[in-house]
Amino acid sequence: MELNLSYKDVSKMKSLTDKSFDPIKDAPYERHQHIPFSLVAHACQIIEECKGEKSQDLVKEILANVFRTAICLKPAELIPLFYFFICRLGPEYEGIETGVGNEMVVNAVTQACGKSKTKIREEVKKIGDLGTVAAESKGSIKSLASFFKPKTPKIDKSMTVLRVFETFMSIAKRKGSSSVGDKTNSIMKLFTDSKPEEVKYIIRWLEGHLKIGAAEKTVVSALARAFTYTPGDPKNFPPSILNYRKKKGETRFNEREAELDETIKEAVCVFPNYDKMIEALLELGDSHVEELPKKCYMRVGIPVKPMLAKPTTGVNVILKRFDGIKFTCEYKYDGFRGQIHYQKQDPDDPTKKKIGIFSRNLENMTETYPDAIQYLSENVDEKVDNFIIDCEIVPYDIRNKKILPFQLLTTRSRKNVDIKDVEIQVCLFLFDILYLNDQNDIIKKTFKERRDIMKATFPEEEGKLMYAVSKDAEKFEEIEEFLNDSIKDSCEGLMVKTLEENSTYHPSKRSFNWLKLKKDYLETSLGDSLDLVVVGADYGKGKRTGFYGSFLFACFDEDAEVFQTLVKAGTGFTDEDLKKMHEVLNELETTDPDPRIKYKEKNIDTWFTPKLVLEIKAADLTISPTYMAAHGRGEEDKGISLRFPRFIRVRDDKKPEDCSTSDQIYSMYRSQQAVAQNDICFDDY
Amino acid sequence: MFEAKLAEGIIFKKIVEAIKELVSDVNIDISPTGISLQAMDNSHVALVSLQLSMDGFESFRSDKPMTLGINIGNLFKIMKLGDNDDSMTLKAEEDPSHLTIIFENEKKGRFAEFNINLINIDTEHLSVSDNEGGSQLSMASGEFSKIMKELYQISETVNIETSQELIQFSVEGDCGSGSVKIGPTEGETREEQVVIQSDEQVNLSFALRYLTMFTKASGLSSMVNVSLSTEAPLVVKYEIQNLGSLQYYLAPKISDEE
Repeated sequence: MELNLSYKDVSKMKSLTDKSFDPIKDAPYERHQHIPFSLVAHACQIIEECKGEKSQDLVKEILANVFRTAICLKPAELIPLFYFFICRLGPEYEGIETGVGNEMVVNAVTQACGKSKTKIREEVKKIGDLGTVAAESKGSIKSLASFFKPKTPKIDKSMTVLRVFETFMSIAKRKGSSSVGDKTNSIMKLFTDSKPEEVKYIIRWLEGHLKIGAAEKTVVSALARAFTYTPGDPKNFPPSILNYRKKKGETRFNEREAELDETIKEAVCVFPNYDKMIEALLELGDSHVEELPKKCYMRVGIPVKPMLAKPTTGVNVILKRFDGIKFTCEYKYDGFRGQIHYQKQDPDDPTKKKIGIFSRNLENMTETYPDAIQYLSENVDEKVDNFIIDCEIVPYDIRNKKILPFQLLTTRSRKNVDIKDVEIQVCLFLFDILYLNDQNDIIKKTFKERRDIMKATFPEEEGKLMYAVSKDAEKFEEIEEFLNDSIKDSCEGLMVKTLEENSTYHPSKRSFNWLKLKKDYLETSLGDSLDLVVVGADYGKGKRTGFYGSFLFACFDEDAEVFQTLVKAGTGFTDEDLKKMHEVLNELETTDPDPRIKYKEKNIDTWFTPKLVLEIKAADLTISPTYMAAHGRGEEDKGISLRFPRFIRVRDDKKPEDCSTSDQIYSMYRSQQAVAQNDICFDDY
Repeated sequence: MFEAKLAEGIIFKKIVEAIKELVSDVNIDISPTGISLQAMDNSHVALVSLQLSMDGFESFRSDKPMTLGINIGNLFKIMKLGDNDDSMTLKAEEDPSHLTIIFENEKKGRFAEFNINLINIDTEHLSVSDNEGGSQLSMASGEFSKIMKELYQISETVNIETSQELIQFSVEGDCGSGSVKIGPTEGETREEQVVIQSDEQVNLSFALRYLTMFTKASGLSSMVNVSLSTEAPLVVKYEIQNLGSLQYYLAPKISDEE
């Protein structure tokens, strides 16, 4: 049979929003071909143009139709196709990243299109999107192919989804400083072999965001819709059901779509591995999709998306919320969320234990905490086969029985931490258990029951493994008192949780059954605002294109008569504020920093002559290696910075020299309770 | 079976050096009459084409045509291992997995043999043609190289304009602008001669990044030939005495202002 080698033109394809879209007849490719990347670029383009009320549903429809073509014609490429739309290369917990920074992408584009770097940067500043600039540059190149004909008749060399994905993968695999050139070359090759409209989204992908207004949640919903329309059918081609909507009618379709959407989302929470999930969906086929949880379930070694808490503004909100039901308050430790997976026998090597620690974002942090791993491997009861627990990892001074500031842990590197080099030990503050001895229904138990199981399984040990301090409270005064205690004990505040009613563990949910109460919500600390000078800014992207995106602030050091950088902030501004700020600051832009500005490293796009003073509010003060405020007063070679800064108003009445001084900031920092508590240990280091 | 011996191995080293910045992986084509190579840079704006005739080799044997895919960076590493006065032999078996490179030096009694692994490269061959008509410039390669390098200090782009008697290279950069005009001279030696022939006047812009890369080949020939035409890419050609030629092609730049 004669195979058709070239692809159909996507621009002549039936609209992806057409209700009668046929994933086989209307697809721009055939079964023997790879999925053309032009289909992805085309979909991105029309999604980007979707606006208005029903746009979210249209976006879903477009993506669903793209996925349907793959379900029918190229199931094997559905996984890379899906990952492209969510800008990832694999499950989050595997941490596969391209390691390509903005600088490298700009370099690749510069080299590939022959324009100067300054020119590219200028255009990016103007348009606000490197992808568009790259696409336009690509369109203006004259290559040798426009002069010379190829000797051999060309086979269709259209860019394919698979090639894009594999190139990204190969970029991700290359490590080390010498890899920069190779990575740049790979990007250039993609650039050269793609059409301008394709280049746009390849470059945006590399920058980490497609900017088409389709978040991961939407893409997942689109996948659900695609499988509702056209369930996978590995044994038959064409699949037995091509269009469920047409076959069973609108109502049945909508019901089923909602059901599948929920099933997929729940499965992803306890089993965040899209590769395996898509494989399962393809395999299950028609009418068996409800079996998905049987294939995608919680298991040791694969992190579960952790349950999160809703922030609250005050104690009375909590009382209102938990009126009449049993609840408990727990210390909210200032550390790193850790989900610990334990298996007594590693399936790959039964003589060893397998222990993993995952962060709140499902990153594998096992190598960061060898001290915690060692403790668990030596102290977990022999009778325990496996478990998943939720805890907070906190630096701890075992001699003085004190919690240390979490910043002391930020100096630990991500990988290859040697237990001999660990100076500051961590303590695990346990607060929940999700899985024990192959029982995966523990999350369905009440929090009270889970807490009992947790306490029965893990005995406490000072400074190594402790339970989060908790108090089952009912009265307003009790909570407030307990909150103050928590702050005295160097915690961030409290977590308030239901004990029995509605107290199952909901992976990935920001639930009202868990509320957090932090000290800054009570406005106890840092009630006073600061007046700070703007000394630099980043150019805005997206909505803020043409303005500044965020600003670098400094305080005034009266002794040295210099401005010390303190914090970068971009929240609290209205569009009007940004416009005005831009008008004023544009005049003050300088290429090199004013000599009075003292900074550690340049982390902004442009400098300003110190002139404009703004009023800023923040949650609290923290030690920072990046900023210079109060430098030399406290810790050796470290400054002070603000947490959660937000803009209040412009202070036209203040001169830059009248702004908050380093001395003021330092004394505010000193008076912060957490610091007062830890004074002794700070002096020790 | 393929085997070719070059009395002056250094020539081959210079060739490799002259293309290693422009291209990373290349297919070397072996035919019964010689060795050739054609490769484009990543952005498909520049192309290098090498032709070596069997006549220039001390010995040359090629039973049937073959293609050797080579990473130029690795090849250059091996070329550096040879001494400047060594002879060099290239050798490959039928359906080869590697290319053997032998350096010999009778005076020093040295014999060195290296293998370089071959790779599969998927490239397309363009049927390049020489410019006819247009404007032609022939001058000392060292002088041409010097002009290109110095202009590159000022700007990334050079505008080349030709007239009957003159070729003008002009640049505009952040620090200022300038131009170099070259007219025909009748020097005493061939190297001192500048010959300009202009059947068609051209006015085109090119990326100096590439032009300076091309001048890496200056060591192969004392003279360089530049030909320009409105309808075709720019060609920079270096003759390699008795052996063949190394030619570069470059597509003109579309103005940045567009």
